[in-house]
Amino acid sequence: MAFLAAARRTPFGDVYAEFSEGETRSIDEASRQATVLFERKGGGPIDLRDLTRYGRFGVKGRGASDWLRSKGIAFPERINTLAPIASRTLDIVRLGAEDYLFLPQSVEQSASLSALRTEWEADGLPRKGFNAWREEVWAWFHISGTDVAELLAKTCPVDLNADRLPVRSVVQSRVAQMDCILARTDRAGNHGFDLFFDVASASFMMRSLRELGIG
Amino acid sequence: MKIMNCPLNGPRNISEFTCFGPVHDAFDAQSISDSGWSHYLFYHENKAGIIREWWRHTPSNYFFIAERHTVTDEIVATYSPSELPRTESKS
Repeated sequence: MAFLAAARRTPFGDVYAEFSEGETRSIDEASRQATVLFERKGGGPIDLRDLTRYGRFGVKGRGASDWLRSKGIAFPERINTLAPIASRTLDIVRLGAEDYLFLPQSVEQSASLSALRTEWEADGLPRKGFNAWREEVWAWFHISGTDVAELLAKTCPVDLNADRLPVRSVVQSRVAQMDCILARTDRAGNHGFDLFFDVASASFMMRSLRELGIG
Repeated sequence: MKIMNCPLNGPRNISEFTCFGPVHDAFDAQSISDSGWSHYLFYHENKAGIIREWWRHTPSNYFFIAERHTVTDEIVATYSPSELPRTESKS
């Protein structure tokens, strides 16, 4: 089992952080590995980071909201919104009436996320939603830069400019002709979005965004 | 690109949506007659005019109701299924 866990890798060959057996890498290192999509005079670079290896946890289905209430976790009233859970150093993203995604506020600190997952798994409630396996089925990129909205406008039909889409907004739309969730987190310190999409298409997404940067 | 207004996500390109066909009246599968089953399976109204249909916003997997004119293909209205009265004739 340990061998299988250690062998699990993301589409780009990274070992999943939760199974790295002592191997640690911080967001700083992930930053150094960022792919610069393009750099424009005066606009600065647009960076793309692959965060697929980092932990995330999704619960959806009937009972998911009730389970959160039972744990005293306040969730956003509006769908398509991200909110911090201060006591747990986690962010919660509400994607549907009974569809939630938990993200660590700092990607390399997954202890709080693991604790939440353990709590959910151990809970004997008959209806508590089901595990949506977001860490398995979704790739997780972060794209950021001053002109990120301009780049994404080539492929995403929603206006992502900073004045139209404030921090903690979430958009469920299409990027590179694929279904994609965009959450404005600004986690690299500038205008940026977390992208969640089909993990099997991670390579396609990377190539598509690179081509858009060039073109 | 044709634009459709999703009740949850707002106006989006029609390519983000999937049609799931006309809204039918619910029936009791245990008590319905053979002719009722037959009508349900093999007869469709195919009305020229405004019909109610199930649509899904695919990226968010949100299902809703759209009223569409089958001749002009104009989308007249979209709304949440919760606004669809269960007792109303729906197609």
